[in-house]
Amino acid sequence: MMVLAYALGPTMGLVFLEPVALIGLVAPFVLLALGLRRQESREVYLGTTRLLSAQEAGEAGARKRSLPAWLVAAAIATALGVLALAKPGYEGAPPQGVVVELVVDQSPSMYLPLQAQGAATPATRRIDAAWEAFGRWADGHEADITGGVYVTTGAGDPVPWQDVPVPDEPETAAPEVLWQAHDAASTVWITDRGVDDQDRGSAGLFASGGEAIPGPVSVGAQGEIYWKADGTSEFREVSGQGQGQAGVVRLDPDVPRVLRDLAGVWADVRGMRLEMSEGAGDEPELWVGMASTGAPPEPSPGTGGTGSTSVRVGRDGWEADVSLSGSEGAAPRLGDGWGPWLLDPAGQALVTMAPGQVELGFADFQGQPSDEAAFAVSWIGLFDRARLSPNRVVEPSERRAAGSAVAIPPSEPAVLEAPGAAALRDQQAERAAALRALLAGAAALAGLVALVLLVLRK
Amino acid sequence: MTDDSRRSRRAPLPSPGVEFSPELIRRFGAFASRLANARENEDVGTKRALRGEGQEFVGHRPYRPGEDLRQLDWQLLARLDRPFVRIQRSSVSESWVVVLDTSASMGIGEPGKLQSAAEAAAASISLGLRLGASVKLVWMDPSGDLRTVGVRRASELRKLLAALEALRVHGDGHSGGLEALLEGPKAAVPDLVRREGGAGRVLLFGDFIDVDRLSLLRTLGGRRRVHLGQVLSPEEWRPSSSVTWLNPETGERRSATSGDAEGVGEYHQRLDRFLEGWAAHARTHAMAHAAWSSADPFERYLPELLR
Repeated sequence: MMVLAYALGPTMGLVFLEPVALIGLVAPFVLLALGLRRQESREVYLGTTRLLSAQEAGEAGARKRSLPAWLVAAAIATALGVLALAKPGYEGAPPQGVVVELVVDQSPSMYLPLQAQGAATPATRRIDAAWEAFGRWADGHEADITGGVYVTTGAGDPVPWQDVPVPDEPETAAPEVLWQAHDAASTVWITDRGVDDQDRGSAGLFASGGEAIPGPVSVGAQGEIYWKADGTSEFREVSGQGQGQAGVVRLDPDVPRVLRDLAGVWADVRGMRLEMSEGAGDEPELWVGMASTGAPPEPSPGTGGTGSTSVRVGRDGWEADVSLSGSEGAAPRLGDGWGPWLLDPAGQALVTMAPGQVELGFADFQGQPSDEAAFAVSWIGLFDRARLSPNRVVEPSERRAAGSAVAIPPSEPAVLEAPGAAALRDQQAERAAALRALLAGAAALAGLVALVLLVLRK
Repeated sequence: MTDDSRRSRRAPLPSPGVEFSPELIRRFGAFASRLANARENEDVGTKRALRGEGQEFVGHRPYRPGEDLRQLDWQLLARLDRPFVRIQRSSVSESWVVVLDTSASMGIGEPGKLQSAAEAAAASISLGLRLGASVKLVWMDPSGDLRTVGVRRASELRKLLAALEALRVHGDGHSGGLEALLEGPKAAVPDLVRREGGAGRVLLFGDFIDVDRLSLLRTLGGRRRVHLGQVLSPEEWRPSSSVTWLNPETGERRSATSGDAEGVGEYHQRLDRFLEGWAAHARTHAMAHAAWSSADPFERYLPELLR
């Protein structure tokens, strides 16, 4: 009885998970009907019927139509068995909503206007248009599922999509997203140009599209290179205060000489002006300096515990020995926008970068790097990545037209269960299992009774 | 009676005829030989009713301690110095009358009651001929005419077996029953018994459902030996509780519900009283009696019936 009470406790939401099996409920009725029909139709000759006569007369016609008990028990067993096979269970709690993972393209083109200047409509950024398209889908989907649409943009918990702001433009030019790495049924891509179908399998896609946006692709002291919508470019002299000034690269005087020379060449090629830290106070597009605060980095094994130490470091195909000594050996900054670029063998950061800044945690190079060309390309790449984007300067590839708008919903957003749903589901699963066991046991018992009655009858 | 019994068109009787397979005929012969040999052995030193006016010498066998010394062959003892007894059997003087019930109630059961009765009759006739008796088979054909076939020699057994195989039960009513053969306008058995100068044995095979015991006694009473072979179908021995019972002779139906467990129990009591009544009647009047199911082989019950 306790099992019965437990199994039938929450009758609300009781459903059959295999309702097709309920067709089998016809079986016991057919069984009983056949039993009645057989009882009516089977005639057996009996020469000794006169031995019944007196008894029959005594019964005075008190006839009744009854089925054999074994048949009734068999019908009950069949009905209970069919109910068990239909898998009674419970409807789960409705989900709270769906979760999609947003992958947002933050390359410079996303922050360009949707249309070229001079159009009648106000300027709308491509990222805003794509975001709005995603919002329209989310609104409609929330109505369809009577639940919420939640998003994640990383490892954090899902939040309502309305609470997620449009990402600000990064201080440094963000690279294009490697879309294939994020192709999942519950993922939504937000970008400006349609992604090739070969790269997109099941992810949703909301692309703003957009016209080609003419503008400067490089700025120097004498003028700028202006990219036009037809794909050509021209040099334009700029005049007036504040116009045509080259960007500034500022170096700490303690920066190793080899890097100072490299930065000079790099700045010259980029049309930038190199200043030492004592220079005039223009806001630099890139600052390269020495770490001066914090604890000195732990010496690596085998490099000695005090005084000047040397470690072998490298990346991008080059290797070089660097010295750690005195105050120049302080640890460069990490966190709060700072990320490591070069590590020592023990995993300590020796060079870190932030938008517009590079900080060194070693005193100098000892000897020549193993591969000078690779060394130069590697450091120039660092300078390029760390350099703040000059105003209005965007690469030609980003200025190209992005085509038409695309809106493809995600194929299968992940279900977000309501709080406590898992516990409720477990409880319901236990109750359903108990109910099924009860039905199956009762069916077996009824079947056994039917068998015993049948044997006893013979 | 207010039950739902009714008369209407009914299904044909399941076992209206008789069929003897070669194997069955072989069994008749084997049975007769075995029983006849046993009789011959038992005849030595005992007075048996089977023996009639004369004794026929059939051979010798070694003497067994305790046997009647009058049966000892003294000449053989003197010649061989070993004791042998003479084996004799009844001579041809006895006549048997075998009567078969062919009423509709004999056409039921699987195997059929008529089949079982015919097998018992055939085995008995084989024994009788083996023992030297003359045998007359009596029955009533479906048209209501009395039919008899008589043989005197074992070589004529085929003739009787053919007659038995030709038996058919009557379609309806009580015609062809033992009662009609024993009493009434077409009763032929009393005349046959008397005309044969006093039949030594009368064997009746049927279900005896509608036979009056007193009329049987009036007709067959006397010095002759009477054997009552009573055959019932398996369903009559153990009726099902969930069927409609159908009287083969009247077509009367009994509803299925009348055969519930309690009703079946009552039936068994009545059946026991019915059979015990015939058994007691037979004992009282020195008749042999055996009741069996039509599913039983004749070798099981016939030795006791023919003692």
